[in-house]
Amino acid sequence: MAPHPKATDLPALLARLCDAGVEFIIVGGAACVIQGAPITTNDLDIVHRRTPENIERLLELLRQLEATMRDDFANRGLRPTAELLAGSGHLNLSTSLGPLDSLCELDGLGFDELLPHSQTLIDEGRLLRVLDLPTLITVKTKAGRPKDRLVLPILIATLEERDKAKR
Amino acid sequence: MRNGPAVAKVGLERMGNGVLEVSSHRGPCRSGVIAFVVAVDVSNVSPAEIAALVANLDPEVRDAIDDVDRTLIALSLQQSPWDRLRSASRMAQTLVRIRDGAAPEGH
Repeated sequence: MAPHPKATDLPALLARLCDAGVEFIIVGGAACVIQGAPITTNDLDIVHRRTPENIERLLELLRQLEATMRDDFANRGLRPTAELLAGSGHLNLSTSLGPLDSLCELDGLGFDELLPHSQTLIDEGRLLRVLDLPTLITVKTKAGRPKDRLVLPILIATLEERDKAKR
Repeated sequence: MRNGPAVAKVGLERMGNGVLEVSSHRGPCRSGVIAFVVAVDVSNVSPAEIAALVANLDPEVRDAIDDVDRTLIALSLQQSPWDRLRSASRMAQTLVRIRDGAAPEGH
């Protein structure tokens, strides 16, 4: 198997997910960016819908993108399975377009539970579901890791600026 | 020709618990050439909710909010969602290249 390129193309990865008809909500750093926070991100985190049809669509795309488990230090080229995607864990994947973390649940909440806390955007002809800023702030506050604490002031400021712009 | 970002509210359209809002995030645009971003915002946030979120933060994080450069946020909000992701991804890759270039050999 050819090693995945070092350079990532997150917009292309996201576009492939959209075009494959996969149902998902963008979470994590990419969601913060899409919501307007001026930060950088090197991977794409999503929560996928765990219906059999959606898992099949996602799995087919992951096959095309030669996805393998990223943190397998034995480098066995382990591939994601329908069973894993239907479970409750996080699949940290390496793909030909960059790192993709496909989460079955975020803080114990699946796609359907997160849906009311998401925002739907249509841009460049593609529909994106993105976790909303207040929920991102809550999730990152709970996580409490140093990298989350660094981003929190920026997320709050972004929320305030968006609120000002709306008024 | 319009000089500011075009924003078109199309009233309220019920979608679940939310509203349908149509707005452009593309900055200055010519009349008749408006690229729309449609946002279904199912979670409107009130200032009170923002205050509650801030109150839940620890004091160090709360103090840092005032240090955030709001200009960068304003510039980011002028971009479309896809362009925000493109910029952030490019910048992250540049930082990785700088980091890799700065790393001592063998690391």
